[in-house]
Amino acid sequence: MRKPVTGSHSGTGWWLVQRFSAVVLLLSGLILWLGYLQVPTLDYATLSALLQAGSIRLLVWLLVASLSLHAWVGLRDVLMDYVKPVSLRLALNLLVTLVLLLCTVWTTAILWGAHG
Amino acid sequence: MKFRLYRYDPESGEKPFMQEVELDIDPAGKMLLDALLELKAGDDTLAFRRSCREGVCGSDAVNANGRNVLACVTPLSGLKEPIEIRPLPGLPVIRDFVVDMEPFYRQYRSIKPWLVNDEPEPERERLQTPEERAELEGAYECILCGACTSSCPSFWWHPDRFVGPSGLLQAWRFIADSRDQATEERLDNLEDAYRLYRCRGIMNCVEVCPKGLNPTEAIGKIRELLVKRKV
Repeated sequence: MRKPVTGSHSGTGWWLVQRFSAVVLLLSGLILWLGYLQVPTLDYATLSALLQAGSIRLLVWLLVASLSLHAWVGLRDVLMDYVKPVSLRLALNLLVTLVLLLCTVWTTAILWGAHG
Repeated sequence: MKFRLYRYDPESGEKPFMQEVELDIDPAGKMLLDALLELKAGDDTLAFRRSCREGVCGSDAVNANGRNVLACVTPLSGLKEPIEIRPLPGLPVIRDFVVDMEPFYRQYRSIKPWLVNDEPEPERERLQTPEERAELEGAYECILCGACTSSCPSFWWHPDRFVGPSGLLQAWRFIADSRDQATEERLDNLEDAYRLYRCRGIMNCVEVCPKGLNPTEAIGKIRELLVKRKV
C-alpha cells in the first residue's frame, strides 16, 4: 500500500500568509482604486507624476507583493488538489514561484528603477 | 412513487447502472427507509445498511436526490420524484448502497478518538464543572454516519490525507475536553498542509449533518488554537 505522508508542520504558517496577504491586498487595492477615481485620465504623464510620491510606490509594491504571496498559496492549493504526480506538481509549483517572483522583482525595478 | 436506484453487483461482472422502479406506497408519515425496506421486499437483491431506524446508529446514510441523508429520518413526502438513490459519494462501493467506510474510519482512528490522561485514576470518575461539560455540546453527538465527510470535495480529492469534517469534529471533541491532556499532540497531528488545512470552508458538512452539528465551526476552533500556538 502507498503510504500517505503528511506532517510538514507548515499548514498554519501558510494559512496565515494567505489571510494576511488578503488583508494587505484589500487595503492597498482599495486605496489605489479610490485614488484612481480622483484622476481624470490615466496617461503616462499622470501615472509617472503619481508615482513620484513614495507612498504611492509603496502601495503599488505592497499590492503586487501581497497578490503574489496570496496567489502562490492559492495556486499551491489548486495544484495540491488536482495534480497528483509529485514530480509534475513540483515542476508546476516551481514555475508558479518563478513567475510570481519575477512579477514582484520586475515591479520593484519599475518603481525604483533608474528612470523612476 | 417513482424511484431511480443505483445498482451494482460486483459478482455479476456488470457495470453499475440506474434502475427505474415504481413502488405503491403512501408517503404520509413514512420515511425513506420505509420505502427502501419495501423495495427490498420486492427485490431482495437490493443491498443497503440499516439498524436502529431512528437516526441514532448512523448506518443508513445514502445519497437521495443528490444530498447525503439518513434514510430513516428523511420524510418520503419531502423528496421530489423520481427519487434518485445512490451510495454515499467518495467512498468505494461494495454493492448497491453499501460503501466501504474504511477510508472514513481510518481518518477517525487517526485523531485518536479517546481520552488521553496519564494521571492516576481517581476513586470514582474524573469530574468536570458544568462549564467544562458545556464545551462538549455540539461536539460529542456525532454518530459517525459519514454523511458530512462523504459530501466534502476536499475528502474526495484527499481521502488518505485530509481528516474530513467528521474526524475533525471528533478531534475538537477531545481537544475541548477538560479531562484530556494531549492537546499539544493532537494539534501536532493536524498541523500540516493537508490534515486540517484542506478545509476550504464550503460548509457542505454543516448542510447535510443529520444531527445538526457544525464541523466547520469546530475546524475554526482548532485553527484558532493552531494560530495562537504559532504566533
